[in-house]
Order: sequence, then structure tokens, then C-alpha cells
Amino acid sequence: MPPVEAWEKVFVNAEALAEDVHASTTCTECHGGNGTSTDLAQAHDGLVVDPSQAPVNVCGACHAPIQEAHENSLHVTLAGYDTALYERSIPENHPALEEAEANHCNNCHASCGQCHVSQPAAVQGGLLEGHAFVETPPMSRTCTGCHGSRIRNEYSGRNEGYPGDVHLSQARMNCVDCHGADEMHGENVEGNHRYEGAREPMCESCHAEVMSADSSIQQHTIHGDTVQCQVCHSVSYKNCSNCHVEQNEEGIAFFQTDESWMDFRIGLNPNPTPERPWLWVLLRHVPVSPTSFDFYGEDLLPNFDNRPTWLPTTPHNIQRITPQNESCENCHGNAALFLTVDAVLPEEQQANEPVIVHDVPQLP
Amino acid sequence: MKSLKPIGLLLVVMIILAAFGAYAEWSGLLKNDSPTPASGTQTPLPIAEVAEAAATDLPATLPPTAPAEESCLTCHTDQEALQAMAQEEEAAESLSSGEG
Repeated sequence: MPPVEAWEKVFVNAEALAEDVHASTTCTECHGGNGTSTDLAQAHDGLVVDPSQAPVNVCGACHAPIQEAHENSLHVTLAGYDTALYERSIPENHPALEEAEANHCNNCHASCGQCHVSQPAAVQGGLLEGHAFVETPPMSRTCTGCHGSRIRNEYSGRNEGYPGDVHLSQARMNCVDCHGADEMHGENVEGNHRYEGAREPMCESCHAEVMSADSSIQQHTIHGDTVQCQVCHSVSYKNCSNCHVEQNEEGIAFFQTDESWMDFRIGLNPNPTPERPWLWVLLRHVPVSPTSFDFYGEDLLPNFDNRPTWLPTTPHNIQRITPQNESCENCHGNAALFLTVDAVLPEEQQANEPVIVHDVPQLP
Repeated sequence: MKSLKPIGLLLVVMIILAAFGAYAEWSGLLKNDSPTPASGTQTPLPIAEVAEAAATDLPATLPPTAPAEESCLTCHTDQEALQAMAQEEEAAESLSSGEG
């Protein structure tokens, strides 16, 4: 993401804004402050930098249904963090974990304005088009501002030696071409994790013909309900480990992770559901460790083994032809592609037992 | 015709004096035509002084603004003023290492 200078972050394009319906309100109606003062401190006294998020939520005045749905979206609730941490912890530790989340995770909230008006706060903000409201958020300045180190690099082919996603390289598709407004606004989204509830987006939405029961592609008719699409159509992706968070003497929050690595591991689906019924899924190592939050308290994840450290993933580097789908033998019997027990650290083997492959599938 | 000459000269002199007087009055108005600051506000500083104030962590005064109901856009559309006052923030995650 190109750096935005401090002045540019608050530079308003009056001409562009004047043509926007949102210009019918005054600045202070949304942002507060004192619009009649020419004193810098007085003018900004009581200023609300982002009025599109709680407790102000000005967008809801005109966009009430979207606002209401969005309040329950994972982009706002960040419930995925709670799901991942609480399952490994106990209720007594939740306050300490919440403090850690507040310091290290909560700037990943995505309000209405942080997609449609400015870059996300997680990348220090900056108006997108001089405060003109942007109907379709620009991928490179909003989506990948947060989803950068994995999704952006996979999708755009920035991982050296690995191709980018065909949906970008061949079809020039933007994030929102698959992840539509309803999904992003939290409409009809259930669950406390991105892989719970309805599956959005679905490959079948566009590729229904080749994935039907009478598809001309034999591999699809054989593997359709048992193998996640990405198992055959992704290439290696980034994995992370050993993340630790803390604050320095000035209270500045920071993290440290070990060096990430590229890997490709097929494992067992730890939670088959009607929406995600597959037996085989791709797994990515997440950076949590038993001591990740030790700065905030001792042994905050006492039930670390309750949840795998290798978790289902949907890499964004789709290819029609991949090394593993070029022939049956490239996958069947090829232990190097699977999360076998020897590919898991000894101290993590119990946590990953639900996803470890003990019998690599052979050709029938 | 001879008797009309002094009257003509007198008229010319009067016209010149009137024009000079009008100019003097007009130029005086210009000199005093700075906007009256709103009560409770500080006297605006020129851009250069604003920049100097910003450099010494004292950006207490905004550039001159035209009288308006809200003056937010006067500053926020003034690229030079914003550049003069801008202070780069320290990256909060500069201590971090590894991929987030």
C-alpha cells in the first residue's frame, strides 16, 4: 500500500465532495467539533474522527438496514478472535485476553467509513478520494490494507516462485467481485467465525456447470463433496507461528512473530458441516502459541490443545492446473502434501490430532 | 474665449484634486480591510508563521479564513496550509517484527 502523507490524510477535495449527496450535511453534523472556530484546538474540540462507528453511527440515519446488519458482521464484532482464543482458555482469563485484544486487535475493526471514505485505521487511515464517498471500496487501499500479508500476496502473486490467483491475473477480478456487499455488510451472516454458517462466497456460484453431478470433469464428480476446491486448485501459501504481543514502557503495543514460511498441507476437516461437508481441506498454521499473551497474565491459554494450530484455510491463489492435480499420483500417496504427524511439532500434536492425516490416501 | 481660460483651469484642478481625494480614501480603506476576527479567536498568522509554529509543536492558530458558518473546509481544502501544519505520526507498530 503506498504511503499517505499526514496532510494528505485529511485533505478534502471540495469539488468531488460537492457532487456527493453526503455534502448536503455540514462537517460538524457528522464529525462534531466547532465549525465556527478558527483556532486549531477549539475547532477540533470534541471531534469524532470516524462517525461511522459506535457510538455515533451516523450512517444508520439513512442506511439503517445496512448499519444494523453491519453491527453484527465479523468486521465489527471481531468475534473470530474471541472464538479462537476463548476455546483455548477459561472464562476467568477472558478479561485479560480482552485487554490484549483491545490493545492489539481492535484496530482491525472496519467501520463503514473505513471502507467507503478512508483507508482503515489499521493502516493509519487517510481519505480515499478527498472525502468523496466511494461506493465500491478500492481493493488495494482498503481490503488488502488489512488482509495484506497473506491474501494480498497470494492473490497478486507476490510470494516469490508462486503464481497469483487466476481470478486476478486472467480475469482482473477485484475482491468485491466475489465478496459482495451483502457479505461485507454482514447480511445473512451467522456464526462467530468466518468458517461458520453460510458459505460466502462459493465457487459454485460462478462455476456451477463444472461442479454439477453430471460434470464432464471426472475429478469433480469423484471428489465433489469430499474435497475442498482449494485442495486441488491452490498452490503453496504463507504460514506463521509463535506470535507474542506486548507493550513497551510508553504503552505502545507491538508483536513479534517467527519467520513465516510457504507450505501446502492437506488435512482432515475438523468440523464437517452441511455448508462445508468435505473430508479433506487445506490447513494453514496460525501464529498462536501457549505463551502468546503472557505479557497480560500467566497461562492465559490453559486449554491450548482444544483447538488445532493448523486450521482450515482458503488460499487466494487459485489455479486451474496445479502440481497436485496434474495427475492422480501427484496427490494420492504423496505424503509430502499432507499434514502427517511428522510435519507437526511434538508440542502441538495433541492440539492437531483432529486434523492430522495418519493414513495418506492411496489410489484405489 | 480669453475670459473662459481661468475657469477651465480651475475645473481641471478641481477634477484632479477630487480624483486624488477619492484614491486616498479608497487606498485607506484597503489598508484597513482585514476581516474582523470573530470574538474569542486569535489573530490569524501567515502560512510561514504557521509552519514555524508547527515546527515548534505549537500549531495553535489556523490560516486566515473567510467568514463562513463553518470554516472546516477552508483549512481542509488548503493543501499548503495542511502541509505546513502536518506532523508525521510515529508508527505505532514500529517495534513489531514478523508478519502480522
